[in-house]
Formats: sequence, C-alpha cells, structure tokens
Amino acid sequence: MDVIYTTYPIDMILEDKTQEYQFNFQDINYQGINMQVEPLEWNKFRVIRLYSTDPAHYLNNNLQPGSIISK
Amino acid sequence: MYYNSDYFGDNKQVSQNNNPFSPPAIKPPDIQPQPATPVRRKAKANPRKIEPIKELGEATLPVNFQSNIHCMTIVGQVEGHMILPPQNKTTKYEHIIPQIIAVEQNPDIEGMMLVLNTVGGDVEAGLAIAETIRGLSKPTVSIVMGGGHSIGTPIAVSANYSFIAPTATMTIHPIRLTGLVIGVPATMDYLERMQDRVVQFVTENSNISQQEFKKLMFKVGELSQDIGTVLVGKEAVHNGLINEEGTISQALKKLRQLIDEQKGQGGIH
Repeated sequence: MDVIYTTYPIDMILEDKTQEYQFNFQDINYQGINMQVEPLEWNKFRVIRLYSTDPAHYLNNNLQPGSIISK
Repeated sequence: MYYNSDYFGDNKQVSQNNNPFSPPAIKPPDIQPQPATPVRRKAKANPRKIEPIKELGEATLPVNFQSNIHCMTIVGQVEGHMILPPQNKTTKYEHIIPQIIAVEQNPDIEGMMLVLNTVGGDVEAGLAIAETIRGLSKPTVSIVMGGGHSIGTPIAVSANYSFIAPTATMTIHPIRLTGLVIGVPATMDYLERMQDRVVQFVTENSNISQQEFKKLMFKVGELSQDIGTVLVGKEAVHNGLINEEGTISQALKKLRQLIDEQKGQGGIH
C-alpha cells in the first residue's frame, strides 16, 4: 500500500543497482550517535553519514564522513 | 628552435649583427627591475604547532559547544514502508520521528531547524513526518535549499515559519501521474483521497488556498512531461506557500526570535 509521490522517474528509484555497485552500509550507534557506516575489517567502520540532529556532532573531527572508527 | 646568444646579452651586440642570413635577432624583452617586495614571513607556519592538531584532532572542536537549536535535514527520497534500493539517498521516518520526539523531550533543546533538499517520496511517511513536526510545542523553522518537491511541500509548510532559498525550487504536481502505486487496486478514487490528504495538510498549514494549490497542481504547460508547476524561490512566497525568501542566517534569526517569544510567554522552562 505504498504511494510514492516524487519528481523522480519511478524506474530510477526502483531499479536495483546492487549488481553494479557494492553497497554495504550499516546503521550503528557509536558514542550515542546514530550513523551510517561501511564495515571495513573486524571492528573497523568508515563513517558515511551521521543521522544526528545535534550540530555539535558534525563538528567532531573523529566522526567526519570518511573517517575510520572502531568500537 | 634557434636561440640567439645575444638574447640575454645587451642591445648593443644585437644591433651590430648585420649578416642577412642569420635569423633576425630576438629583441630581448623589456624586463623592468622589480621593486623589492617585503618578505612574507607568515607563509611558513611553525610545523611544531600544527602537528598536535593533525595528530589529535582536538583543536577545532570548541569545548562544551552546546547548541540549543537542533538541525534536521530531509534529503533525497523520503522512505516509507518499503525499503528502496540502496542507490537511493533516503531519509527514513523511523530515524526522523524519534529524533523529533527527542527534541520535544530534551529541555536543553529550544528550537528546531528543518533543512529540506528532497525530491519527494512516500506519501504516508512524508505526512507522518510533517504531522509530527506540526505537533511539536517548540518553535520550528524550515528552509528549502535546493529543492522541496512533491511530498517535500507538506514537510516544508509543517514548521511554524518557512523559508525558501532564492534559487530553491518546489514542484507541485498531482499524485497519480508521476507517483507510483504499488499493490493497490488502482482506483482513481483511492488516489484522489490520498492526494486530498496532501492538499488539506498544505492548505491548513500555509497561506495558500485550496483552489490556488489545486490550480498549481493541475497547471498544463509548465512541466515537460507532466502537469503541475515548478515554483522557484520568490514564486513560492507569492503563492502563499512559503512565508519568506531567505538564507540560513535569516532562518536562524527567525528561530531565535520565535524561541524568545515563547520564553516570554512562559511556554518552555
């Protein structure tokens, strides 16, 4: 029962491109901040995107997109 | 290439060369003696001072920076009940709604800024986000940067006060044409009702009338392959959809003003 209301062509949205690109993203909570990461090796993650609403989190150098974190 | 040995010599020697078979002497460029410039001493920074910043990454983060304003970004597709393929950049309502609740609950947060750059998405999820923002007791200000299309429209108007960047666009179009219906007996009546929810929400939360909004929705000749309207910056303000054209600083100023007004009324705290 989904109605998608968008300006994008629908086949662009629904086309599954997982065969072409390797997407391997996870949502985790690190230091109390929800973020999207890409797992690299054991206990190492690359930050893709923060979901936080706190502007202070985006100033944290250790959590800049692209930086590597480990739990 | 022939290099005249007199090139770097003085003019006197060049003029004395009368051999017609020799290539014409290249006139040495007029090099004006450069006035002595003061030596820039700041160019080389002390490497010892930079190292700890590089290594520890501590210097740029202000200690105890606490913002009383939280910022929520609505980007890409608004994702609903169906998980979209991973090439889509999505805003998920299961992320957004708990964040809005947290903003409402946290006494340190006094206002919320909503930044939109979305192409639309799921109707139910978009309306759920819009309704939750409308229900916040704390002041909210939205700003459309880039685009706030389709289902982005109700989200943009759900804040107490809305801004649009001068170059930002909003596309208003009917649901049934470019929208997609999955697993629904595709009755026009169902879509009509779905669309009415959007129209109702937008007209209730902005200064645009229902007739005017529907007129924009069904306008012919604006979009190349569809009916509808693209509103750029000021046009959205003229139609009463958005309150003001402005920038981030104006939006933050408005939010602080709303926070102060609410504090004056004894709303929060």
